[in-house]
Amino acid sequence: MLNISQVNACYGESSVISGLDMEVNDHKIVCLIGRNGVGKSTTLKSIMGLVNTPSGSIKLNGTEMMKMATYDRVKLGIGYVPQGRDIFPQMTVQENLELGLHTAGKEKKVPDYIYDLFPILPEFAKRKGGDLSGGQQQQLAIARALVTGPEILILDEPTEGIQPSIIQDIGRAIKRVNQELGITVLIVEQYLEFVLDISDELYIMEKGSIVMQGKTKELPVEEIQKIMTE
Amino acid sequence: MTDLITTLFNGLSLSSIYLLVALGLAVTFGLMGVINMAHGEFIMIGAYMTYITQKIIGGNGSVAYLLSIPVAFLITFLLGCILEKTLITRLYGRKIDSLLATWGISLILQQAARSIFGSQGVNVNAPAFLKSGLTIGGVTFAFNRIFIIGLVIVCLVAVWLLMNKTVFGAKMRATMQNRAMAQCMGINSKKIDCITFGLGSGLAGVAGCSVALLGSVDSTVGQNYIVYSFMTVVLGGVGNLLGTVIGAMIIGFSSIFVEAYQSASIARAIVLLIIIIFLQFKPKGLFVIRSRSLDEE
Repeated sequence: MLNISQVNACYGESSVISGLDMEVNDHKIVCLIGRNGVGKSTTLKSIMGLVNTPSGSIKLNGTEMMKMATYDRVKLGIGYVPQGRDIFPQMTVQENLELGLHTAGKEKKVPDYIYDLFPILPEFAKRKGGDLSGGQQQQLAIARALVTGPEILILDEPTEGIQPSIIQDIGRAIKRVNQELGITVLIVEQYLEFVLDISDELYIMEKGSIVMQGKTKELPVEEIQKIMTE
Repeated sequence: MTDLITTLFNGLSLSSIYLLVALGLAVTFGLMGVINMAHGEFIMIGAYMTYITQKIIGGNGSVAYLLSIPVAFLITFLLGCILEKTLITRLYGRKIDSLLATWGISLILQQAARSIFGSQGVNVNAPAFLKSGLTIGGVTFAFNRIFIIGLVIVCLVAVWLLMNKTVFGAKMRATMQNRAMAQCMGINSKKIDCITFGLGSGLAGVAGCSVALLGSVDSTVGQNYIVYSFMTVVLGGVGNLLGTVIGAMIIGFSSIFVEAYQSASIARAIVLLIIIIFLQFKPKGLFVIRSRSLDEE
């Protein structure tokens, strides 16, 4: 379980998130939504230790992570798929995937289920990561995060700039990862239809704090739509 | 004909020396983007290590010389790591600051060398097996020159294997391409930065061993090579080993060929002119790294 409590985050002097509380329960798919610039990505970066978080507490399964370096947080069992994918452009698809192997240190080769989830990957194994299309890069980024053997998978706008058919593939893959492997998923997203379809629980963010939360099925869809489009 | 072969061999020899001194810089400047003005001083330290090893071991110099190569690598590797941990690590992304700071380090190291060894140059005895040469059809190929060509090939292959065939190499490339994302893959990027900088410095130390064969060693010996090292890396295209090889060959061969028909100073001027004109048309060097995500930036 991932617990975030009273977290503040800032870029230099300007505070982006203040007093954020969130809980991501095990084996659930949790989505964090909101309009542009409300602090969704910053929330994820706070979890990863990529931004300044002067106060608060972020715990994974009870272990306090606030003072940990990013690479140590990853070793606790977090897989991160950043906005814009951040594939290593000059490395081959295979090399991108295999980087994650040394993190977990459990497996010697990329597990077969990853190729089962993303059948395009073996085809492109020898291509440079930077030569793939956006959708292919997104699939590679998710696969790469899974290779680290995470307990929780964190995705930042996985549908951004990706064609609808690939979005469906990605959605299916995320669901399978969650259901078959029991990996907890936390997604930041703006694409409401995708979110309503995939998530168990929802957090809605405005101006750096949570304004609504609950089980996706129980939340008022129209009100959410209003917040998202206002 | 013999003249031409001699010139070609001299060109190859000079290219190999430039390549060897630039190889470490191709790692620290090319891969890491650190402008390290003290690179020349690591070459100097390597050269002095050769001298010290020879002093301690004595004998005809062959064993001592061969031993001095790993010694010089280790010492400069460690010094590089220390410099990275104490100074460079605070200056990532601040190119001008790191230029100034490392220039300061360069002056300190030069003065330290003067204080320890005196301002008079010291001589390294060329080991016996490198003293003569191979004569084929009236052309003499000096063994020490051939040895340097061999040494640079060994270094080049070793660096290539390390970067492309090892786990450490993969982590290193990932860190250099995207530091934050490498951390998100669980890679301890600070450790990688430190070892990579050490590696570049260690290669400078090995270059120092070969520089020691070519003339007397004093505190400014590194200064003779630093400008050519930077030119080689920039000409080849920053961040590309093959580019560095070609860059060294362009500079080495053109120097020797102009020198064969004109004076050495004219040769320097013409080489600089070639580089200036070349960079006018290809400002990013010979080999430009191109990919989608880089083009978008």
